Amino acid sequence: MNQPAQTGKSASYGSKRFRSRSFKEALEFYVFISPWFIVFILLGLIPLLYGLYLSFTNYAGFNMDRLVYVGFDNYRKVFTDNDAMYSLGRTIFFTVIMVPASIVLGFLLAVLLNQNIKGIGIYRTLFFIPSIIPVVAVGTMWRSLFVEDGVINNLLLQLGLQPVDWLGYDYAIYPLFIMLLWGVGGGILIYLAGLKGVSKDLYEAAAIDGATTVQRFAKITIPLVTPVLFFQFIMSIIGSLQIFVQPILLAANSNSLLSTPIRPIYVYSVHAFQQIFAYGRFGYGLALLWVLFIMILALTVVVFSTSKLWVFYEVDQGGK
Amino acid sequence: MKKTLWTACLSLLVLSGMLSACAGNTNSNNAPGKNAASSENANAGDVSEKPVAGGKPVVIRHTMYDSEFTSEMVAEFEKTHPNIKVEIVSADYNKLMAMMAAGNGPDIIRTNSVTELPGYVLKGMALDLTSNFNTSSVFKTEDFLPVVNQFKYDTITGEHGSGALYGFPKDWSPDYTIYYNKKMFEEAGVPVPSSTEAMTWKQLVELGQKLTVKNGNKVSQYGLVYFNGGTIANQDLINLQLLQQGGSMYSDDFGQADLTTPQMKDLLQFWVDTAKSGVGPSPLHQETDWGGQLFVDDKAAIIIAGYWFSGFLKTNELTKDRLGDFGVAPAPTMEGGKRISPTGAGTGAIIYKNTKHPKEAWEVFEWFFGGKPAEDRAKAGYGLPGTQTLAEMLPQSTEFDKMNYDFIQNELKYTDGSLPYNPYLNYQAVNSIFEKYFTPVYFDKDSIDGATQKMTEELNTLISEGKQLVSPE
Amino acid sequence: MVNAGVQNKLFRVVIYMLLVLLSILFVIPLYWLVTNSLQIVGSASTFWPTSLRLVNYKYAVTFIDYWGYAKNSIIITAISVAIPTITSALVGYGFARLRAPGKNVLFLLMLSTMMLPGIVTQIPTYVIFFKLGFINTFWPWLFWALGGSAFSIFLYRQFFAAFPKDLEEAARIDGCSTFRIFWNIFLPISLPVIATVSILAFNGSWGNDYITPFMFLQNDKYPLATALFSIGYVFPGQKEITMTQVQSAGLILFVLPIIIVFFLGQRYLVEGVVSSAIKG
Repeated sequence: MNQPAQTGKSASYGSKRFRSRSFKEALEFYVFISPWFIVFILLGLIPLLYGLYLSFTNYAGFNMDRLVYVGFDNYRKVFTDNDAMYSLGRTIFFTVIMVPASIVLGFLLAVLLNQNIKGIGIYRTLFFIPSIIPVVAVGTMWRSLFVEDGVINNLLLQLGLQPVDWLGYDYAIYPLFIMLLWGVGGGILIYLAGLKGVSKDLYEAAAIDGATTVQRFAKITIPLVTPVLFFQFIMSIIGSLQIFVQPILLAANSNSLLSTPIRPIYVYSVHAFQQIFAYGRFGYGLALLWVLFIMILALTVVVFSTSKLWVFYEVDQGGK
Repeated sequence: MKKTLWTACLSLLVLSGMLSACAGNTNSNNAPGKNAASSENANAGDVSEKPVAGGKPVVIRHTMYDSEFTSEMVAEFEKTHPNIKVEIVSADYNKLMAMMAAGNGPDIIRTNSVTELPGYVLKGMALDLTSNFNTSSVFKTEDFLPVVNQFKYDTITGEHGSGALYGFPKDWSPDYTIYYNKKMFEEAGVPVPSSTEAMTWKQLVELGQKLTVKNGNKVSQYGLVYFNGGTIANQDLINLQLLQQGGSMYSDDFGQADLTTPQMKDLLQFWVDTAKSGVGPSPLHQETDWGGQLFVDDKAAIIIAGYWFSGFLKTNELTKDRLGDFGVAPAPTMEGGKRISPTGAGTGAIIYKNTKHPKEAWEVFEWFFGGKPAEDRAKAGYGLPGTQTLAEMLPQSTEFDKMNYDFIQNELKYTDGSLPYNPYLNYQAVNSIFEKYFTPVYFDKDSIDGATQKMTEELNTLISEGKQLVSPE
Repeated sequence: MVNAGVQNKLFRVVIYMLLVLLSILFVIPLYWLVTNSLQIVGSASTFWPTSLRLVNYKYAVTFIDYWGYAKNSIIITAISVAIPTITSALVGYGFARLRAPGKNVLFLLMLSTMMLPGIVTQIPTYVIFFKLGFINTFWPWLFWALGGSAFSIFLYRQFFAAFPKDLEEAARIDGCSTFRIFWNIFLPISLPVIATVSILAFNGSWGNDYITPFMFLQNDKYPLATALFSIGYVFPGQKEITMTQVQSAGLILFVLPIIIVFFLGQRYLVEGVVSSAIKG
């Protein structure tokens, strides 16, 4: 919990107005966030609580009028269900690799696109294309790249190499990584906005002092874009732990969102989705998603508490 | 600054204006607040209901597809029924559940009779229409083909195919018939199958193997494909085999599942061998496209598909000019088993049990499923109708049409049969269980014994959950 | 710096090569859609074009009420871009520059709304909206827009928190109210962020908002995204078989506006606005 901080801002107005200044600021804070807060309370909170309640029942879609309260049964099942735990492991595996990969690659791409070359706008647009085209629209494309007789294997054959069973047990994770990394261009706008915020004067001053390109990058660019890196870090964690559509598109029937992905890419959200839509176990599926929620929240809080150490804001954000 | 603030406010006003205009289109019959403590008009065959106040037209909402119940058809209906407005609401299972939970369920619900009807009846979603049909001037029950029985379910005996009648099919096909490419048979020097005598499943697969062309490990021409999945162990095909042989994955009352019986293991072994032989797509031989696409691209010699496939061949640019290349043959049977060639879907609709306007809903239902649209559908040739009279109106003008017509009139004799799907299970759930546990078997990562053990366990868990959830009606 | 000229040239060549190579890689999905949109209807999806059927585009806009759905898309997107861009900035500023008890909890609460997939609240939300008479209207989108989007709020917060304190201090000494500081100082220099937020909001709404409209609207009010994915283009009489070529054409027309918006919008990512504001 924040106590009104005794920073230079408040102190400079004298202790007489100290209390009323912080009070006024707190009031202003609540006014500023009121649009979000009011809509959340009115439209968001009740469905959330209801959704939470449903996870404690045997809701199956059609028995809304005769729900049976089952206490923590659904939640207990989450931890005893082999599939749930296995798929959680898969999700964590992909997250641990994708989060750093996507941040590093995304950032480097943005740096590349930060040049003032002619036509850079066109390049930026092309890099962003994968984020514009809805993933489900090109599900068949991915399959046709990776099937046995697909484009990639044919390419390998041309190069004199052996074709690979990309969609089989041993290699299925690779097409998934490729699909996920394909979308790294989605973050370029955000990184660019961050990069553009770094004043050119700083670079010039450093150059005059004899700093090399690498030194300028490490000592100026990176520290000053940490707010944006932090944003991407959190968003990447939130997103990766919830990945769900791409594995399904690699499954045997890429036209049906109910296909079961092969074991190595059977991720947690797919398991929850299947429980709800294929098995009709709405209550249990919701419990699965709430458990994931808790995990994401916990992880976010941890990352937040470290932010004081490495994110450079001008105004103290008081990391929790 | 002031200017931008004003422009912002002005745009907001304009937007709200647009929105109110849109809000005015809200279905006024679903007045909020009068939240349906669902009107209890829901008793069997009861067609009386509260009179409509003020003569405003009643809105009947249905979940048929846009392409099935077109806007032209809606206009035609509303012309002769000025007291009813027909609206389409696309809904998947999730949205259907949401609508029902809110008391806003659609009046007419699209239903796959073979896999969904018993479940819907048990879940209290289907209105008993038996007396409606009996007193209707449009439907003649003596004229009904066996497929209509798929919309019957007896809640007392738990038998699917008899009991009260809850709906009617829009169109259907015997989904397990065989279409084949004559040219490929010629090239392989293999005689084409008979159009009246059914071969066995084993013979069919062997035939497919003769027509499979391989390039090392890659298959360039499949011998046998299926329209709804790979040529592998799959709920639909196995249920058909069980029906023909006499047997089921479940106990007689569907309360227990057992996939570890010798009968099941034999069938499953048959499919594992089939898949491994590469006669069709499978997790071992992956394809991007469905069986029908492979067939029209001349990458498959035989496809298991229904009468509707002939309509597909007629409209598809890649095949419509060479229809003479294709032939049709009966659905395969089990050795020593009964010859049954049923439908796998029997798509039609039920009327929602808690509909607020059962009388008007029936009017729409009767017209769509029994009136002129039914006749039009029969004449179009994309599927079979529900009555014998209409079945005689199927197209026979071209040679291809005539071949299909003759074939169907013969095959119709064998279409009475109810595939043993479990009413306590979602169709999708069983598919998922097959996909999850049986896929490893093709890769030799599990044995049939191991897989069937796990599948049986999980199915039984789901069945007991399902049974607890449905209240006996 | 000796060899500056040679190093520079090599550098530029490498940059160009990277840009071109990566562009080719990233543009493949678009290429896929365009290629397939030109194939004969009913052929298998492929990477190698064999025909040039432009008529598929005509089919795309005539087989379904394309422009009707597009009109709905425009309404929904206009609401979902214009309004949240401002309200999210307000909220983001609050979180970034103002202090209050409970701020961190509220911030985490706001972020947590992104950690739960929509399915959890969909059915309860439907029931509530039905009681409010919101089903089959665009009101939900208006209210959601007024509440801002967690994504945008978070992004604004990061940027506003990075602005120097001098900006505010100078203004306070002049007696500016907090709102004036926000509106007259912070916003004008946040052009890159505003552009980013707007473009991403447009992409999110026009291109990716298809489940909520499917759940809460009836067919005639569907936006393009929902129409393309849930109604789609089916062969006559074969309700479950998609005409992939026509759908590809429909998708190309569908993503065109987003591409244009992105291309025009990214020009606003300009440098040095903050520093000049301080100097000024």
